[in-house]
Parts: sequence; structure tokens; C-alpha cells
Amino acid sequence: MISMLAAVLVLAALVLGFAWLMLRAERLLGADESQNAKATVTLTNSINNLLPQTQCGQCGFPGCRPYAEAISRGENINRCPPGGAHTIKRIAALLDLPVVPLDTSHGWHLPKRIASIREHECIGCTKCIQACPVDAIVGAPKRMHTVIVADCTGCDLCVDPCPVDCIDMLPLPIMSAHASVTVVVQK
Amino acid sequence: MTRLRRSFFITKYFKPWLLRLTGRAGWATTLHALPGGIAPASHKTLSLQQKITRMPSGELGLPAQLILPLRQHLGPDSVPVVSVGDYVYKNQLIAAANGEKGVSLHAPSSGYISSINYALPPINEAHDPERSWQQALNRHHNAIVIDTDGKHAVRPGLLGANVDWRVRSPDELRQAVFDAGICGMGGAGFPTAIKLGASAIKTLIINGAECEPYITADEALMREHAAEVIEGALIIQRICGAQSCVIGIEADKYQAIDAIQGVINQIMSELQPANAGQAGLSLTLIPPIYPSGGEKQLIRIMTGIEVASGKRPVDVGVLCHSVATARAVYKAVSAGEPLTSRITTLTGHALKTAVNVEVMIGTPVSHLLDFAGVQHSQLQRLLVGGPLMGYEASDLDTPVLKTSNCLLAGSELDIAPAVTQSNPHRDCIRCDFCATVCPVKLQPQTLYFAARHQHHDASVENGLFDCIECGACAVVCPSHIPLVNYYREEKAVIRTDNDTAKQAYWQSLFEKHQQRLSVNAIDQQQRKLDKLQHKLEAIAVGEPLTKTPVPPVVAPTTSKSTEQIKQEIEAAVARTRAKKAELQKKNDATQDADK
Ligand code: SF4
Ligand code: SF4
Ligand code: SF4
Ligand code: SF4
Repeated sequence: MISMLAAVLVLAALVLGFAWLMLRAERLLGADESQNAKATVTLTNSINNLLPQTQCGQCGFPGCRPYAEAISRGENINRCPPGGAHTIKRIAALLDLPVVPLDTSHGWHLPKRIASIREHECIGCTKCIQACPVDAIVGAPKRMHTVIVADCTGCDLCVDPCPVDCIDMLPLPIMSAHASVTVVVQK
Repeated sequence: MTRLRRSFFITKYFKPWLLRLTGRAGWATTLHALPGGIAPASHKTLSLQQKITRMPSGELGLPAQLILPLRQHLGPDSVPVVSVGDYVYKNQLIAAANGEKGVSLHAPSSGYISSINYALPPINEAHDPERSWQQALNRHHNAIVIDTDGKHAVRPGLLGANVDWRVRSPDELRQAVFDAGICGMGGAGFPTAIKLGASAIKTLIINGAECEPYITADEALMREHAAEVIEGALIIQRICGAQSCVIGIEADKYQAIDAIQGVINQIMSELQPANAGQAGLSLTLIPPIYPSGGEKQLIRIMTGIEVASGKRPVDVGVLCHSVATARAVYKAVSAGEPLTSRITTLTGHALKTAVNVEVMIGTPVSHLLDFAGVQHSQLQRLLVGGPLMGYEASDLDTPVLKTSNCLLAGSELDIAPAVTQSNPHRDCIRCDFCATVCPVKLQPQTLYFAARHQHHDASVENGLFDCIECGACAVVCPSHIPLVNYYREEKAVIRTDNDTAKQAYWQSLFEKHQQRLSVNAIDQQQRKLDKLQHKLEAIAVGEPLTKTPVPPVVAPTTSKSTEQIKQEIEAAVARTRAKKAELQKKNDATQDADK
């Protein structure tokens, strides 16, 4: 009887002890909330640094940083087409996740391009300026617009809004200019 | 099929035989074998029938315009120091070097400046390993254009002091080289003065192994100006303090060898017998195998040292300059003459006369083609540079650069048609011919698969950036895969992906953009608030609510009492305030997160 009582008491003490520990742990964690938030920000930053910064929104988020935030909350890592397999691999390594193929429902990985406005066709509607996520287009209402080549990320967002379709996405010059190694005909 | 058999024959049998032969003849007693390499038909006799034609002379007059790009070298663009309309004399400085790593640019002939920002299609880009994406995006290179007046007038007193270089200090000599705007004339155009600034150089190698088919500019130079080349080599040796200076020439350039050996013998006989051993000037014949003239390849053949991946020859105490650079150094130091002309090979079966010409830098290609009698019906592809490493001229206005050693007007006898969508290449059959000939001991087929599938990590791991783009693998590939194209593109893509500076810049642009949007939204709410406040004040003093007359069709506002209106406005104020506060909070939060 006494031994049973002792057992019950010990168990009860254990239960209470653990309950107290757990409560305490919760409170400890709660006190660390700001620290946790900081850790998340750092994580977001490191993920963001791996993303290509095209700011194209193909991942379904309005820019690379929002997608980085989403990834740090557990979003899939394979939604960025401009980054392609390479970026997925890097993020997977950072987060210790398995490497997965690109989710092509968000788009295909294409070579880098830049936008170019056919300036004589531009009517100056300013729609492309509003679409550009990095302010890489200059122009005034009813005046010609042009792309600042050094700033353009090649995100493709300005192409659709243009009412006269005068924006082309051109491949990077280096890709086209010298793609021709020749072979000696051996006579 | 014949092609396949031939390349097989050449790589498997001809090369070892050649090596054995050269070894037995006693040419190559201390040489080290180059891994891989090919021996393609050289076609060099084509342009060696005549002596070098100098510009300006009889048939080869000055062009009406000289187009001088501000970047013909590796490094920052030169800065123009002339303006449109200025008259410039020959050899006058027209663009100054941009800092220590720059190269200056001089007028090759006299005339008036007609433009200092002439836009030129991209040139000389593929060989520039330090190009960032930012530079690639500058689609046009700016150039200075001189309208020549045909007088070829040199400003009096512009020539340097005629002091013997042997008594001038190495630093002084190096400054002379810097002032003359010399960059490596064999390929990439690395500024010569920077290279000469390296310390602890033991061996100086002068590269006379012009191994690429068709090109004979260096060979013609050595035949006709051997003394100047050797003198230049000695000047370079004095500047860098190397103990020995070795000139490497391919063993099948008989006349060039004779000329160079003659000059060396003469210099040696002039020296006191006691000093003869110290001059350290010698000639080494190397087997005629492509690409023995690559910098690292030549060093490996001549010294046995393999320059490690990612290292430069100066790290192992070896300096390598081409014979053309040596001659430019000679001219700069002995006569104070800047680099304004170079020897270029005009060749190919689409020309009536293939010949070497000494032309002004900046001469448009079309001028030279006219001189050589180009048959446009025959012309299939026009290459600047040789058939293996050259690039396609973008148009006929392309000027001759400090680095252009050859202009190949190829008919179908010379060059295979480009691989295009309508003329595709076959699939890789994993025959490993390419791996046999690669001088860097890479596995070109593995690189090819990595590049095609954009496995960038695999590309880098397999040594993509050690590939010298020699094209040997593409020549022997029985599937006609333009392998080097894939490598060049892959290199460009990887450089782009790793351009963290660019990405950080875009990130900052995006953040600024977001910031602007959120500030705009807050402002909008504030404007709304101001308007409402105005209305409330108006009600308080009993003014009419709007100064503009109310259109009669609009329902009269009198259906509501003033009190009602006042309440509605106050509710709106509260809503707007709340919205603004919310936006402000969001804005502050993102700013905090960014910090
Ligand atoms: S899909 Fe576009 S916006 Fe999204 S992370 Fe990739 S580059 Fe950035
Ligand atoms: S210019 Fe067009 S393609 Fe370039 S960043 Fe702006 S919206 Fe994107
Ligand atoms: S790339 Fe060409 S040479 Fe190399 S293994 Fe494939 S088919 Fe053969
Ligand atoms: S191009 Fe590159 S891979 Fe091909 S043989 Fe030359 S070094 Fe090797």
C-alpha cells in the first residue's frame, strides 16, 4: 500500500515537475521572440541573397525578398524560374533540404535578356514605367520612353502592359555576338 | 567520313611521329610534351608569298577615316583628351589611360577629329575574361573617329629622347612602354606595362610560336624585322630583370628561324667572350602543334612548368610576351613611337592576293578587303582572328585593333558553314576524340553536357574556366559540335549568375522602388485628409461646400442635413487616418527589416 502511494506520489511529482518545466520553457521561448524574429530576418536575407534579384514575380510573390520571406516560412524552394536549377541547389544547401526540380508551372528557365523599347513606336503612355519593379525605364507622359540598360533586370513585366507592343526582350549581346567558332576544312 | 578519318589520323599518328622526329633531329632535347594538340592544315604559305606591304604606300593608301575604339585592351576604357573638330598629328595622344590599369591611345595619322563617341558594334569581347555583365550590356563601344588629311604629318618634337636604353633605368623604360599605349598584341590585349611590373621574374619567353592556321603576321615580322624583335626582347628583359630570355619559334618557320638566329649570333659575337654566357639570350624550336602558342602551353613546353589553374605565369616566375609586343616595345623605347600600327595577315581564298600588311590601328576592314581584292561571291564568312579562335566580324566598318592579328576572308575552301538552326550539328557519340586533343587535359564532352544542361556547378568542377577556347576539340569532333560556342555561352551565363554586385544593385533598386511606392500611398492618404479637413472647416464657417459650381444633374446635397454631412466627413477622416497610420506602420516595419 505504502509503496503504491509512494509510486503515485513520485509519478505525480514527476508530472508536476515536467509540467512546470514545459511552462517555463514556453515562457523562456516567449521571452526570446524578438531574438527569433531577428534570426528569421537573417535567414530571409541569406535566402534573398541567393535569389537572382530579377524581381519578376513569376514565383507568385511581388519580388525576390517577399519570396525569400515565404521560403523562410516554409514555401517550396523551386518556384523561381530565372534562378533555375542552380539557385534551387544553393537554397537547398543553405536550408538543408532535398534538391527538387524547378516547378515549371511558374515558368521556364531562359537565358538572361534585357528589355529594349523601339523608341520611334513609343507613344509615351507611361504604362511600362508603372510596371517596372526597379525603375529602369525613363520617360515623361506623351514623350518617348527608354530603358536604362544597366538597370534592367530582364523581368519581362513591362512587355505586357505596353499598348502598342513596342518593347522587345533581347538576348544579352554576348550570347549572340560570337556564337560562331569555325572549323578548318582539312584539305 | 573522310573528315573523321583524317582527324583520327592526325591526332593519333601524325603528332607522335612529329614529336619523335623533332626529338631525333636534336631540336627539342629539353622540350616537354604538350598533352593533346592537333596539327591542322596550316595554309600559311598563302600569305607568305609577298613581303609586308606598309601603309601608306602605292596601292595601300590611308583610309578616309580611322575608327579607334576606346577599349582595345583588357581594362577600363581610355578617356578622350581631344574634342570634335580638333586637328591631331600622327602619334599625338588622343585618349589617356584610365588609371594605372588603362592603356592610352594615339592618333595613327594626322587629320581632324570627327567624333569622340562613335558607336561601334561589339568587338573583341569573347576573349575578355574579366568582363562583367555590366560591361556586356554596354552594347556599343565608343570610338574616336579621325578624318585623315593624307599628310601623315608628325608634330615636330614629339619623338622621345634618343638615349640608349641600356643606360636608362627599368622604371623609366616601363613608363615609356606605358606612355606608348602598348597592350599584348597576340590575343587578349592585357596591358603590357602591368605585366612588366611583376617582380621575381626568372625567365622571359618571347612567343614566336604562331600556331593557328592561316596567320603569318608574327612570322613575317620575324623574317623582316628580326633585329627589332630581339632588341625589344632585350629591353623587356632589362625591365623585368629576367636572367634568361628564350625565344620560342615553331620548327617549321625556317626563314624566321634563320633571321632570328642570325641576329642572336651577331649579338653574341659582339659581346666579350667572357660575358657571352651571361646574356642569356637563346632560341628554342618547338614542335609545330596547335595550340603550342597558348601562353600556358608554351611555358609548359619550354620549361616543363605547368601553371596551375587560377594562377598566372608570373606566379611561377615566367613572363611571356609575343614577338609583336616586343617590337612595339622596341619602337616605343628607341624612337618614342607609340603603338599606332601593327602587322596583320589578310588571307583566305576569297581574296585575290593574300598578304601581310602593316596597317594603321583603326583602319576599317573594308579598306583592307578592297586592297586585297575581295571576291564577294566567294566570301562565305569574314573572321577577325584565325579560323579557330577568331570571331565573326560584325560588319565591314569593324576596325583593325591593337590585337587583330589576322583577317580571314573565308571561302568554302577555308571554313565550314556556321552551325545554325537550319544546319544543326549531330549528337555527341562519346568518341573521346576531343579529350585526346585537349591541351588542358579537360574532358570536353563532359563540359559539353554540363553546358547544354546548364549544370553550372558541374561545368566549373570540370574546369570550364581553365578552357583556353582553343577550339581543338571542335575541329576533331566527328559530330561537328561547335563545342567552344557552348563553353563561351556557359562562361557568360555563370559570370552573370555570380555577378553579386549586380544583384545587390538590383536589390537596392527594388527596395528604393518599394519605398517610393509606400511613401506615395501615405501621401495620397494625407492629401485626402487635407481635403476632408478643408470641408469640415468650410461647414464650420457656413461656406458652400465646394467652390466649383455643382452640376445641376447631381442630386442636390440639400437632401442631407449639414449635421449628417459633417458626421459622414468625420467618419471618412477617421477611416483615412487609420489607413494612413497602417501604411506608415508597414513602411516603418519594412525599413526596420532592411536595416
Ligand atoms: S521568380 Fe522572379 S521575383 Fe521570384 S524570386 Fe525568382 S527572380 Fe525573384
Ligand atoms: S525594363 Fe522591363 S524587363 Fe527591364 S526591369 Fe524594367 S520591367 Fe523588367
Ligand atoms: S564532343 Fe564530339 S569529339 Fe567529343 S566525344 Fe562527343 S562526338 Fe566525340
Ligand atoms: S577549347 Fe577548351 S576544351 Fe576544347 S580543346 Fe581547347 S581547351 Fe580543351
